[in-house]
Amino acid sequence: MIRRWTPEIGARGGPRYLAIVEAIAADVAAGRLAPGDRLPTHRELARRLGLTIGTVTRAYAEAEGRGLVAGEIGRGTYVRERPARAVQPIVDRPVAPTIRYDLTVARAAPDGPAAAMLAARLAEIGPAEAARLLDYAPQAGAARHRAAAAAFLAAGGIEADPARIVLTNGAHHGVLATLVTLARPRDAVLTEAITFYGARAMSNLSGLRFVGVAADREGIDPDALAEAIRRHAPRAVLVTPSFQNPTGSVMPRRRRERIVEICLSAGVTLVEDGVHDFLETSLPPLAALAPEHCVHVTSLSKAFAAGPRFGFVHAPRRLVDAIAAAVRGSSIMVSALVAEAGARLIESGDVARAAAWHAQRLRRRHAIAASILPDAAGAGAPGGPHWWLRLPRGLVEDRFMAALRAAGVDAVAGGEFAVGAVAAPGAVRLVLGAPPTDDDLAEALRRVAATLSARGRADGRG
Amino acid sequence: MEPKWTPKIEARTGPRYLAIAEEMVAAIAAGRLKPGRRLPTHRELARRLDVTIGTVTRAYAEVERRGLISGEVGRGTYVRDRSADGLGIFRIDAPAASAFVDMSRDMPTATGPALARIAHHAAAISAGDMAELFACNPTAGLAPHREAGADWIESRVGVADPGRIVLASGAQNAILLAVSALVGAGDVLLVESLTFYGVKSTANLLGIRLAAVEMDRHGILPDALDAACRMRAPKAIYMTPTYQIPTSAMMPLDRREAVVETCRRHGVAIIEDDNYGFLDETSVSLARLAPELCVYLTSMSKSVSAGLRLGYLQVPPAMLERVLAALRATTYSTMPLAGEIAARMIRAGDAARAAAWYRDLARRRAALVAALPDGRGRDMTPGSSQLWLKLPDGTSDGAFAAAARARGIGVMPAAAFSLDGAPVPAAVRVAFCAPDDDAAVARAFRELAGLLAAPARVAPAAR
Repeated sequence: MIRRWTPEIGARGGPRYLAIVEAIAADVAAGRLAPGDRLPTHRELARRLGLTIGTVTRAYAEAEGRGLVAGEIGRGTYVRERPARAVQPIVDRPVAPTIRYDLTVARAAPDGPAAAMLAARLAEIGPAEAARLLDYAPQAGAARHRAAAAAFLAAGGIEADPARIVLTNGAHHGVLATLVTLARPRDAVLTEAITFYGARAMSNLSGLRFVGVAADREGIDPDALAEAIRRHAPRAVLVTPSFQNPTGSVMPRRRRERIVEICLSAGVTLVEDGVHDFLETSLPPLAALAPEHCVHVTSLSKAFAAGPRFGFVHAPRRLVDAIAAAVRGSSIMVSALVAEAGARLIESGDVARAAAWHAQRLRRRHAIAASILPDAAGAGAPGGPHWWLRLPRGLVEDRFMAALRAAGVDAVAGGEFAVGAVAAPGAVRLVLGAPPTDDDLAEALRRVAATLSARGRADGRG
Repeated sequence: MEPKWTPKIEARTGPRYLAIAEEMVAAIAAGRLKPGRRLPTHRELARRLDVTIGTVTRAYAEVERRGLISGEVGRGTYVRDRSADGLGIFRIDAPAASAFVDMSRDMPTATGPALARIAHHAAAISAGDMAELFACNPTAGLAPHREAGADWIESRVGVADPGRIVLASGAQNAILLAVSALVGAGDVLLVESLTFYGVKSTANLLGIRLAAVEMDRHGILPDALDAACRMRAPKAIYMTPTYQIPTSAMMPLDRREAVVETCRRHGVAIIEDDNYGFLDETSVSLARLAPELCVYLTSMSKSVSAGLRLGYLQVPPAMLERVLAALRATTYSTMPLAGEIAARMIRAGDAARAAAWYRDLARRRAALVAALPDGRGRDMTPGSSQLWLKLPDGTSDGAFAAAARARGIGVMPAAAFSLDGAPVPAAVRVAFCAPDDDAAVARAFRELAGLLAAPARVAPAAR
């Protein structure tokens, strides 16, 4: 029995029994009560707290119901073992201590310019201006913020009209708001068979039916797309023409025109993810080819930094209001304070400077990867943020990943990007921007190469 | 009968059904097709346009999907009156003339000392701090931000656990996360028979069906809840037991216990919107009564600033993964900057001061409510920042809101809080703490009193 534990209930409002339960929970959480500790008897605690025995009995019963304590007749009431923590989503999995090099997700470059730029722009906004901004702004975003977004898009080759822009909390939010506008539960949405868009999570959420379409090194396959449109009568086609995540494919001009043509003649709206467009400025975005049939979704996450969550959608006029309504329904609006900082970052040229810095860094890193990893053919276009490592035939993703993790390197297996019943692609995504330094990346990739050749030999023999 | 409407589709390219649909959307937007207008039958329009009936059916389905028209079997297809539906009314337009006193949405612009403090904290984030914020952003939010959130809600939830706290981009986003985690497309979510219009938007967005639970002046009725659980097999209930939106009802403890017990018995999860909890220090949240069953959510919008766009959820362990998956699928992550500013506001005591300031504002302006004629403010729960203003018999909520608007006053008609097809009470919601200016609110109340006294000045509802 612990030294005279008495719950602190004085400060807790509401029914006394509840105050006791919460005091037990708080003391367990703080370690003042340990598993196995025996609590006072009902009678004893009632006396100490000046309450009826019935109140304490109710408190202990409730605490037992919540799994905090266990009562055994004749033996008293004990504190139980703490319940296990809930499972975390994949992205939140703690990095195992054996992992020296984490190539799973993009992280902010520690030596990048973005953080200091954003801090400076925020500091620049005076209190009066901040106060004005913090009042609710018009839904689609203040005209000034939309104009800045339009300027960003114009630099990417889209003749953007501020009146057609809706601000979002990042590109993901823009894609969701657009898709729920275009499609209702059970409607089909076509996308690349291997894609970053958590199609499963998104369809759980929205009830949309994602259908994967075959893609090659030039992106989504036109014939497969046309066939899928005939078969599934989709409401939208979601594609990433430049540096598709995770395969790194960049659609050549001819393919872009073809995809636009197919969707146009079928009357299906295109939704284009342009977050990596800044890495490839010589090709037209689909939105430039089909301004009235393509929703262009992007954000500053890749060109600048993910932190601000400043995204925007450029949509055909007929869809603008509905997309804005979906943004309202999902988050009311983007914080105008953030939008103001984002606008200043664009207007001042900070974003362009940061984008150039990122592009240069990725080109360098892609070259490092090309010098270390074999078979650059499967790697994705040069200068891209990911290396799509195709495994030799017969080497399954899980087995390779186990060996890679044993070598201290983590990455994401291609199967995690498969849409619906598509088979695992036999590949692994390596995020080249993830390691803090170029040297870290080089070492990580040497281990990838060594694992690959060792596994290749082992599997070849087996 | 109005002149025939025939869409001009020759000039439009692409599939015929889309051409018809887009003509219809354009005609509605331009006011050529007005709310309540009956549209030609499928057969009739097919004949006029020389297309198949299937094409017209598909076109109507497309426009109905966009929420602009509604069809009733045997009655034909009508242009919907969007002035009172969740999506239409939920617009946040640029402020009209500055003289307009907007008490329709409770989005306070009266935030007293808070805004300057937010600006101060935002400007004080150094480049080094910012780099840390950028370095990694767990789905639920950074640990220090969740800890600050736990401190903020502790007094309301009894036991706050940073491990179960999730940051959202405001309350509306928190509602979306909770609803989408617990209720699938096509499933039923129960709501109070008058409910926050934001949850209607969410349901619309997610393809979720809403079912209303009858209320009295204390909130939903446990027996009605029990019946709804049996008949509708809902996955969850969304409710605002503390200063109910829009009626300001304060649910007494025994009713809360009965509600929780009923939900437990039926295995129905509770989404408790406690946005107004900070106005009250004595009520016992449902999250305290049933922490295993209840997703608790609140935001900084009323207490500190709506412009910050930050909300907190506390989620039972068994539901946490689903809420995080929903967050991944919607905004991917909540902006860490808002979490940081809020954390600094909480730690410095600025958030508590802002909340106290707003509480005082609500108490001060309650005098205006008390002075309304015929004791119309009588039923408002003391300390509330919103008034459910019941109108004289025979006055329509929409007509009254329109008459008020014509006098430069924004109030929210009851239809905004009612489910489609449900009877709409003669009432409006007055968010009297939203505007900044005391004198303007006092003037607005005098105008409202005048309208109440002379219902003849309120034009009958246009049909």
